[in-house]
Amino acid sequence: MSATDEKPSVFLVDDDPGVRTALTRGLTAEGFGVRSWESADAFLREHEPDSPGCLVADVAMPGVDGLELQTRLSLSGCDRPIVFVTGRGSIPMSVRAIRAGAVNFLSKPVRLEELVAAVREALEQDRLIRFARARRALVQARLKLLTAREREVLDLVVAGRMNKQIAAELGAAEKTIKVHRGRVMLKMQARSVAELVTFTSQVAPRHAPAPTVE
Amino acid sequence: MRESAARVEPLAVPLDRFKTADSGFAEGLSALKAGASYRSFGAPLAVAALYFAAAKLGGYLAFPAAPVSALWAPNAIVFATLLLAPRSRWWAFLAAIVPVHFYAQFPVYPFAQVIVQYLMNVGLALIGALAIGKFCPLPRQFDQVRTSVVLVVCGGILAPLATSLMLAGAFVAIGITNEFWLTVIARTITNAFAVIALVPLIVHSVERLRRGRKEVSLARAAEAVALALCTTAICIAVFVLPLEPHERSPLWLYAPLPLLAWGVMRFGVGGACGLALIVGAVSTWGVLNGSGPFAVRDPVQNALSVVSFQVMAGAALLLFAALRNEWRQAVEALRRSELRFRSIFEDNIIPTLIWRDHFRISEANDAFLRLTGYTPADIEGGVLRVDELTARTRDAGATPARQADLFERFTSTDNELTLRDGRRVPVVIRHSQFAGESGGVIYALDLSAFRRAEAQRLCAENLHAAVLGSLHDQIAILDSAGTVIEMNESWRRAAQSDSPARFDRVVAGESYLQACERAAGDGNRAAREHLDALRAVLDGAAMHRHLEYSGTSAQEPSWIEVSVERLRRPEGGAVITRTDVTARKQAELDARNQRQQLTHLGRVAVLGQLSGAFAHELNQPLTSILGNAEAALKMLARGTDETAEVKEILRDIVHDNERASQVIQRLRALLDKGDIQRRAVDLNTAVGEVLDLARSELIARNVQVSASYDRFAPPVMADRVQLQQVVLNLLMNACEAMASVPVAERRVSISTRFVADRTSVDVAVTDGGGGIPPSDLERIFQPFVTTKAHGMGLGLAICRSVAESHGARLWAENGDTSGAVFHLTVPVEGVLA
Repeated sequence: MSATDEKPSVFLVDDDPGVRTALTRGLTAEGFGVRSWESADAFLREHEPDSPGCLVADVAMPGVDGLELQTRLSLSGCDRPIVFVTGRGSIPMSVRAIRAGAVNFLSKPVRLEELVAAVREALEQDRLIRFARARRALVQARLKLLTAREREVLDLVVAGRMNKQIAAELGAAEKTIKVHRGRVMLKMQARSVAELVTFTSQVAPRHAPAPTVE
Repeated sequence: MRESAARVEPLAVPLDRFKTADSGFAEGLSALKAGASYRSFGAPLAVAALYFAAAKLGGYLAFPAAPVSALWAPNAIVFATLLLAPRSRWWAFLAAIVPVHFYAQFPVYPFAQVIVQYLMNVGLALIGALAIGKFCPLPRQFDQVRTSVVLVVCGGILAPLATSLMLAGAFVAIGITNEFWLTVIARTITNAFAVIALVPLIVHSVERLRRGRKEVSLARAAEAVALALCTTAICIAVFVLPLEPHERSPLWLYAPLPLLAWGVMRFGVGGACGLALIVGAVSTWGVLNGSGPFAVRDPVQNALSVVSFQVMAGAALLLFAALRNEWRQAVEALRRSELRFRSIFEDNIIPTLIWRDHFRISEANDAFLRLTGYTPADIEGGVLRVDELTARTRDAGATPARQADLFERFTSTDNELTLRDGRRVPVVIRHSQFAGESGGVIYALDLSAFRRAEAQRLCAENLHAAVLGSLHDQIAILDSAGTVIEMNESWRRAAQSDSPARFDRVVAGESYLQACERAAGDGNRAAREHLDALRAVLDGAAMHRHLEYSGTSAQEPSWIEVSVERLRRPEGGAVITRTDVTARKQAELDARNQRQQLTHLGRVAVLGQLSGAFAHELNQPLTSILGNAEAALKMLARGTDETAEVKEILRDIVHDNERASQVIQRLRALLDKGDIQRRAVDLNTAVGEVLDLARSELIARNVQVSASYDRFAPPVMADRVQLQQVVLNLLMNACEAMASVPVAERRVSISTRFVADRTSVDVAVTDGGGGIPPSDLERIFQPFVTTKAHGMGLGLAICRSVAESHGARLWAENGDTSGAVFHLTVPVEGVLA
């Protein structure tokens, strides 16, 4: 079961109750599932970083403000996309937020369609991230199936070496290498070397042999 | 012997009439109190004994041939006793005599005779005593002429005569004797002599004894003895020496007279009686011997004539003694009277003088001498004249012949007395003339002190009037009933100038209180205030009250300040002062306007800082409204029945709208340059509102605020918005002071505290900045002093002026930690500046 099967939600954080209510209503009417919190602290305590969804947050909040929230989330390794909606924004603030990875920076009073568009974008981003993560996880799992030798072969194949070269490098027969290669392809469920490369590029290499320079 | 503790008999007159000395009977009666009382049995017995002795003596002294005794004392003794004893005791004495009388006479004489004699003897004594009691006022003394005359006439002549007539009649009727007229005459004159010679003597002596023994000087005793001897000798020579009638000159009879005169002059009643007895004794002896000027006829005639002579002599001596005594008393009384007059005259504090013939001043008292400067020698010289004393009379010209004219001049009121040194003093002169002679008394009362006081008083009054008159303010003085008793010129002019009648245009004599009451009754508010102030001061509830009210015309506004002060005198009252304070009021208004404008400027400046915050505050509800509205539209577009939810959405929209309005209202309030409204402000909620207002700003600056409120802090009388402005300013300053402080340490705390001495509430704003150098703690409140890079430095100066206009204090100190603390201390129940 993949995490992507859960319905994506919008996580709303704003200290003003009226705003929370209104935005919740608007987003719900658009068909999103909304959960809201009064403060960044409450959100951080309760939310599950793995659940799908994006974050809509105010910037000017007492205690931990929006930008601080953004920083904390990224420090904790959560890369949930954020849409900022704020009543007192300034250009420097918005630039900071975007550069730190926010999807959008909207000012109050916010039109619903603007918000919805940003939310959709954020949710899409979130999906992509999840997808990529899931993918990565899959590749990681497959990689674990490999033996050490197979791993070595994988690394070299991905580096673009011919079998003969691999055999020479590893000190094994070419035939053996071929066998390894076949097993790797099978375990990795790659249909071609290109796919293999794609897979491995999604995962941080243990040690990348120097790429073949022809 | 019974000693009675009871006091004097009703017979006795009130004792205080006897306080004069030399009152014989009085002393005797007061001696009763000492207990030696006539109530005892001793006195009647003593009298009875005396009676007996006297009767025997009388018997011995009877003339051989005549039914006459030389000295028949018993009746006189009884008479004297009745005079001395209280009337209620008379019965005792008369009863005591009965047995003695009988014993003396019976059975020698027939019973009837004895009875009659007893009755007549007693009768004589009674008549005499009663007569004296009736005719002689107390104190009865025989040294008074009146008493002596009554004694002689009633006791010496009438009583014996009457009783002798009755006795003789009885004797003749009974048959004891048939010589009626002889009996009468003999008994009469015998008793007369006894009464005249003995009664005064006995009474006098007894009184003397009662009074107590007076020391009799040796000289006086010797004199008395000498006198007695000489008189005896002369009398012997006159009455006893056997000389032939033809050898005797009638002049001899008058030989004893000088001695008698001497005796009476020197020894009074006692002397008179004693000498009478001596003369009587010797002349009787002479008659008995058959010699002397009375022994010329038959024995009876001789006896009668000698006794008659004795009666005459005795009566004359007694009267003479009485006269002498009275004369002496008169002289003594005169002397005393003179002494009294002297002391009154001399010690009088009013200058007094006495003038005699020809208006010469014969005497003047010390006060007069002190006043005028004359010496006693001047007075004695007799040169001072009454008509020269006063300038008026001197200036009047020649001495008026008639005294009446002179004295008429005296009684005018503006006299001046001329002193010895020529000065004059104002005096009041009164005179009084001696009745029946030339001379009189003059009193002069020195008026200089009075005149001086009068002048001072006039001076003070003039000063008072001048002061009142020259004061520009209108002043009226009221009595305790609210009536104007005095007003100054300004008040009068003001009262008479204004054509529209105003309630306070009251003049002297009218009641200000009533005028105010009437106008207040008509609804005039200013009059009501006047009335309250007046009543409070007049009743003593307050020492002073002030009030202001504006003048009549709207085109030219005027302001009047009225002050009502209590008049510090026992009768109470008040002083009302009205001052035209239009100029001052105008200046006050101008100043207030300027302050308001300045405050407004400051307010606007602060608000500039908050614009971001306001924008945010407005944005929240606006976002809410927009979101809600779009959601509702979406729901309705779906086409399903979402009416309930849409309703809720719309309600929320309304609510959010109100929120937005509130923010705008607050903004407007802060921007309003309105008049100061002093209301009861709860500082806790006011500070809370400020925090609400600035919340987003504080969040934006990452400043944490902690607030602590004193729930015992009472409300203060202040303008809410102005105080909030000050607090807001302080809050913003605190935030700015921490601009360079790390976020985690940006803390501001606000607290309200009811000060320990319960006079004010203190709002303290503490920041976590770097504090204020001690030398700047006061400087920062001065205008154009700032630590900000761009700032005019007016904020704190304006805040302080706002605080002061509330009677509050704005001050700064450095806190316990690194930051500064600003205090706004607002007095409770504002002592308004």
